[in-house]
Amino acid sequence: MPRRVQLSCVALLLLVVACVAGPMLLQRDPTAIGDVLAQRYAAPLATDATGVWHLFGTDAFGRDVLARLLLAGRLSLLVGVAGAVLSGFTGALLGVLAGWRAGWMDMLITAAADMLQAIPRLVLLLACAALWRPGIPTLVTVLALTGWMGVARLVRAEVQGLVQRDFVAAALALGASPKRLLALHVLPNAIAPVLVATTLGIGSAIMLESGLSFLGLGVQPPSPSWGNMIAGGREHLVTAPWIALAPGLAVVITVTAATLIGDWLQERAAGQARG
Amino acid sequence: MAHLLRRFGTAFILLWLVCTLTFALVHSAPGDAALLLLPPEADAATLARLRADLQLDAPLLQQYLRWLGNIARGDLGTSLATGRPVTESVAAALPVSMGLGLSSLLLTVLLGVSMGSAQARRAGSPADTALTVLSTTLYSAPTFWLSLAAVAAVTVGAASLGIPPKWRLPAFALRDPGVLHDGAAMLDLLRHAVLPVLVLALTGAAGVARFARSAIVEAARGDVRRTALGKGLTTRAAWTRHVVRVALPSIAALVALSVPGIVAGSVFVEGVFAWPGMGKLLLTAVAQRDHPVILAVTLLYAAAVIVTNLLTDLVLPFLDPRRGRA
Repeated sequence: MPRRVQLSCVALLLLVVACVAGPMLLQRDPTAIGDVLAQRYAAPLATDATGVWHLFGTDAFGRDVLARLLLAGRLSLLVGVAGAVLSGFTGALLGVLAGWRAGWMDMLITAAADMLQAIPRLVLLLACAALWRPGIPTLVTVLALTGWMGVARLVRAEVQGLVQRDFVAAALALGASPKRLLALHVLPNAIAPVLVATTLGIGSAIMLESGLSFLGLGVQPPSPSWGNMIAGGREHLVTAPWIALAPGLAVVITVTAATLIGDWLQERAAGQARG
Repeated sequence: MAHLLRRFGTAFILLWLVCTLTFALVHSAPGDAALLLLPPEADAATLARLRADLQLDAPLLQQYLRWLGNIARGDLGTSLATGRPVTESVAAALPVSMGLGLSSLLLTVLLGVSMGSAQARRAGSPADTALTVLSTTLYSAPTFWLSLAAVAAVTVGAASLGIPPKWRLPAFALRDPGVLHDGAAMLDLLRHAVLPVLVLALTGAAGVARFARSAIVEAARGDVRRTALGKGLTTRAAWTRHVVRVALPSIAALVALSVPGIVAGSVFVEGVFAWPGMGKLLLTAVAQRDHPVILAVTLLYAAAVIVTNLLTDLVLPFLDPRRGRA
């Protein structure tokens, strides 16, 4: 495992632990607004007028940026992972169906994938978010519905190759049912592209979530998410740049780590295929 | 020829499918346009009249067919927010977006391919790893956040460094987009374009460099390089004239695949820099729940992707040096 992948794993692990445990340990309500005038715009590493120290400073309402960042991380990571895993699952399912059952099922799934891939994912997300009520369930559903096509394509090609192999014929000859055959013999051999795509998908889902929340179409305030925190810091870019800087860095670190790990998994999978 | 016709046929069917999907999407949304347009105190009779005006009371199939017919004739409907034809706003926004999109695409490809090629030549070296981490980081940074950082840099940053206002880059407020009467307007446009083009090109190039590197590494594994070196070419010539050229078709195919991503980036960039193109139009329409505009912009973006893919498919064979000159 190269050094950069090790570092990425450590960074992601630390981030997840901090986001899960942080809000419990910090003893500060990240959404509560206290003495605004005394506490707002404290710079990172500074103490505000009430004598409280803030590692990442405070925002326009005097809320601690670090506490909000960690709470926001829970939502952003949850939405990102849920969106990517659901996309991967849907893609694997539809890919197996399309690859296994040639004919109208294959045609239908391929046409749907072509259609959805022709519309830029962000545009599709924007249209959906504008039409339905914004919120976390909508966000995860739409992420899953717009993210399955790549995985489905890869799995379909993989399954089409696998069903021609001797071990599949052997399993059939031994009387395995199609369900058993798919679950125990075909799917495990087609799982590598699903894992790679899901890992890479976490990064893009987190990025899309932050984008939609930045536009006010994703996670709704007062619940913090990295995207809506950046949106909140936009007006104070000149006087208090740390409000937008901190959540942006959190997105960059998370997505970079997920992408580096995904790339490495992909290289390994390609290396194994080459033999 | 038959292949060509079939390719055009599938592109056309795809376009129709996308039209149907977007129509279904808009019509499955809760609430209807008439309710959005009227003030809450409006009575049932006004609502019914407006619904009749907007032809929302017709059966869905009839609405769909009429809408499809209008699109075929180039009529994209009327904006709910401004009451003006959508074609008008699109005609104003499209060239503005095209200018931004095409110039950043050009820069993206140039920067991305040369960076990928430089990395592939030194594959496995510390410089390669450093560039991989750098490009992955840039690729992972949200474009809207980078745009905000660029705005902060040219405003507060430049001021704190004591750069005189004359030399600073403008962040927003492009005066008359699309109208270029004289050199001063041209200069104004160019000055405003620097930051959005730079943000788009840097993030795009980071993505292109990532796959250009692996495509070129793959090409260098083949016999092309050994043969070129064997016939006495310098390392440099063997690399640029043979290895990179062999990788070019797959790079071109992947660049075409990344067009939706560039579109997505440009939506945010146009939003942050107040660049009056299609992305800004879409964001405004989304904020105002202006369904006809959302539909039209979505369709146009999809059409752009489908046409790009079609063109790439047609041009790709000619890029491959192994094809020969038949």
